[in-house]
Amino acid sequence: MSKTVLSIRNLQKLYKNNRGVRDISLELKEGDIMGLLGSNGSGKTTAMKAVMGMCGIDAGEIRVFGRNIDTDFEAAMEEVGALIEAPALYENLSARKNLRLAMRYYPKYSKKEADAMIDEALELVNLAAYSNDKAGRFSLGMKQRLGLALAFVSKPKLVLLDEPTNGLDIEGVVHLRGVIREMSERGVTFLIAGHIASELEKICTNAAVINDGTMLACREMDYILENHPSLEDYFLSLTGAALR
Amino acid sequence: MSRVAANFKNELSKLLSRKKYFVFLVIELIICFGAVCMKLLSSHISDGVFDLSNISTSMSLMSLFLEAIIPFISIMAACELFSGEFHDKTIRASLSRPTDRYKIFLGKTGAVFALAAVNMAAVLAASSAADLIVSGKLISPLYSIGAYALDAIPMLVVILMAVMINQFTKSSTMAMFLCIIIYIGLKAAGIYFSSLSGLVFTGFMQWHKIWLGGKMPFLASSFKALLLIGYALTFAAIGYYAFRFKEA
Repeated sequence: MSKTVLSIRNLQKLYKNNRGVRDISLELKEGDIMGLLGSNGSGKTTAMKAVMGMCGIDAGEIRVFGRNIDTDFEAAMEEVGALIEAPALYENLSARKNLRLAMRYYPKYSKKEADAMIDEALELVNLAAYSNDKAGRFSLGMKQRLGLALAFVSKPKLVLLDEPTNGLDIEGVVHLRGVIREMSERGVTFLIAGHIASELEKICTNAAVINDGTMLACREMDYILENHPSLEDYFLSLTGAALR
Repeated sequence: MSRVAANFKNELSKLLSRKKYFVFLVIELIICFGAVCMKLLSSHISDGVFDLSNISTSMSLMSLFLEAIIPFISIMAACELFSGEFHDKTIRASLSRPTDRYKIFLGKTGAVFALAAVNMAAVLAASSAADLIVSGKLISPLYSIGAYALDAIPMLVVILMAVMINQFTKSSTMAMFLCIIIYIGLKAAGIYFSSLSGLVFTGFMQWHKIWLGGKMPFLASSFKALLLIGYALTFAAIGYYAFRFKEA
C-alpha cells in the first residue's frame, strides 16, 4: 500500500472578504497526480499557499510526509517543490543564479551536486541555452519554464503546481505533461491546480472539485471518465452550473 | 544554522546584484577623497591659518556618513528585501523552501546590517587612506576604528526600526517614505526637544562618544546601553512577529 504524502484535514482559511477556503480535506498517495479543479476564486491557490505555509490557516491540519507543517515546517518541506501563481524570479539575476539561490536551502548537497542538479533542471525545461541570461529578459513562457525548473530543481517528492501551463506554448504544454508523467512513474506526487478541465483530464490520475472554498468531490480520473463524458461535465454536474 | 547562513548569503547576493549599492560606495569614496583635498586646499589658501592636517577625516565625516548616508542606504536595502519582495512576490522564492521564517528574517536583517558594515568599513578605510596619501600620516587610527565599530550598534537599531516598519506595508515606496520620515522626525525631535535627545535612539548614532574617552558616569552610560538594547529588542520582536504572520 502506497504511503500518504500529503494530508489536508478540514482546512479553513477565510479572508476579510469572506473568500478563501471553507472546508477542504484531501489525501495524496505516493505517485498520485491530483488535479484541483475549480473556477476562479474558488480557493485553489489559497489551499496551495496554506500547504506551503505562505498563509496562516484558521482551522484544520496539514501534514506533509506525516509531519505537521505548523510544528515541523522545515522537515516537512524538505522534499517539496512548488510553483504557485506567477514564478518567483529575481529578474536582475540569471536563470542559473536564480536556481543557485534555491539550491542553497539544501545543505545536504555539495556545490558540485547542486550544480549538476541545476544543469539537469535547466535541461528538463529546455532552458539550458539561456542559463546565463537574466530572468528579466525572458518571455512569459520562458519565465514559466524557469519557475518549473525552480519547482523541480531539488528533486522533490511532492510537487505543487498552480496553473503550470500558464504562458506555455503547445510544445511546452506537451513536454510538461511528459515530464510530470515520467516523474510520477518514479514516485513523485503532484498536486496540480487549474481551471481548465480538459488540461487536467489529460494528465491527472485523480481529481478534486472545489467550489466556493468547499470540496465537492474527490475521485479517481478513471471513475470520473467511466461515468461522465469528460471532467468538464463532471465538474459542471457537481457545481450545478451546466450550460443551458 | 546552515539555513540561516544560506538565507544570509542569498540576501546578500541579491543586494550585491544591484548596481546602485556599488554606486553609493563609489560616491562615499569620492566624498572621502574630496574632503581630504578640501582640507589641504583650505590650508593652502589660508597660508596655513586653517591647519586641519591634525583632524582625522574619518572622524570629521562621521556625522555625514553615520547619521545620513549609511542609514539611508540601509533603509533602502531593508525596503528592498522586505516590503519590496512581498510586493513583487519574490518572497515566495524563500518561503517555498525548507526554511523557517525566523531564519529568513535573520538572513535578511543580517544582510542589511552587513551592507551597512561594509559601507562603514569602506568609508573608514578610504578616509584613512586619503589621509595617508595626502597628508602622509594616519590620525588616531585606533580611535577611529573603535568609534566606527561602536557606532555599528545604533546602526543596527536603525535597521531593525526600518525592518519593523516594512512589515506594515506591502509597498516598498511607502515603506521607504515612512522610514525616512520617521527617522528624520526622531532626529529633529531629539534636536529641538532637548529632554528627548537622551531618550530617542537616533540621538545615539555617535555611540562612541559615550564610551571612548567620555566623562559620563558608568551608571548613566549603562542606562543608555540598556535603552538602546530595549529599542533593538522591541523593534526586532514586533518586526519578527509581523513578518511571521505576513501573507505572501
